Amino acid sequence: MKLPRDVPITDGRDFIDLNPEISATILRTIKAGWAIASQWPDVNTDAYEVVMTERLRDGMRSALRGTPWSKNMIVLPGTESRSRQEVPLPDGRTDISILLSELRVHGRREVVMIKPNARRHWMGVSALEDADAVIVESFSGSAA
Amino acid sequence: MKLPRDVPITDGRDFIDLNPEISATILRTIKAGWAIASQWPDVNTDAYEVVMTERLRDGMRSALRGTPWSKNMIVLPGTESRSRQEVPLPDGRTDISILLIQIFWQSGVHDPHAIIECKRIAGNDSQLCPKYVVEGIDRFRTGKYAGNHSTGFMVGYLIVGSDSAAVDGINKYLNGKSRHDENLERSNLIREPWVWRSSHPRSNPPPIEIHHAFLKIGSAHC
Repeated sequence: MKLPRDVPITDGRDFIDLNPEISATILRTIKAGWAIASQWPDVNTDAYEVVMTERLRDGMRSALRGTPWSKNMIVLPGTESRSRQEVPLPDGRTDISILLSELRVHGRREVVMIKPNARRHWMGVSALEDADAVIVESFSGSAA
Repeated sequence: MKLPRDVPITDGRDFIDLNPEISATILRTIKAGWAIASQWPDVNTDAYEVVMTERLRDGMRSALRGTPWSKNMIVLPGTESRSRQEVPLPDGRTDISILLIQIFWQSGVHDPHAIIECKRIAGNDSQLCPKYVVEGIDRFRTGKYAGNHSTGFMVGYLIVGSDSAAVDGINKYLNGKSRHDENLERSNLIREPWVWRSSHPRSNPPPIEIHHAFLKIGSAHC
């Protein structure tokens, strides 16, 4: 993930610059989620957008379970949004929002793990969990 | 942090049982956020709830920066919510939602882990007190919000008067509906005048405990 340190600050807010791998993973999650959502009878050509979107969100959450991304990618409910920081009232509403937490970035010679402060104490069990995840990612080619 | 493993599964969803330390931290963050929010000129006794709530959210985010909780507690925008898993369409919209990374890691629950409902309040106001109950407390009581949570949070923006006067007005309304057991009382979590608590029965999961933070307008000090 490209961190927003070398890009301009936008409108007082940090600039979020997703790398292609994360974007691809979001798209893959949408596709896998849709395969699950499509099993609901109320997901049909007559359905309203909102119904399909709720089913898609649920499907994306289900699709993430058990994957290396299940601890990184949070599929939020629809949220209110403000287009700019100085706009005091919400002026938009999003359908599905994604929040990304801990990340492991695979380099040529190293793996960088970015962890929340609450998990900064790297216990033996954490090391084993992280090692497992890194190995899985190395074989599958998908960094989480 | 108590994990949702030893409590009943509610409505197909994991039960989120916040421990007192997390609840206290949320309340402290509300208070610190309000001190920042109060500096805005549009946070005044004439302001709409929405304006104050947006300012409060921004303030809470600022207050968290640099603290040990900054990587664990995410103060979300207002979110749509579904009262039960089988409800296909959102049937609620929350004011401020909290997502805790550690709970997400442990439970895998993508929906917010704590809900904060915000209301204007004044003890002598015959409209605001019922509204605080009907459009606030009762959203938790009926399970519209936080149906799978042990704990809910409310913020009362004190338009006029003190927290005690506001609580008297709210309790008077509750008593008028024969809901004596649901009266607000002093908090035993944070023993300061601005924090109160109440407990409310629900049909299926255990009663919900609500922490109330009463915030004075026009002063950074509650």
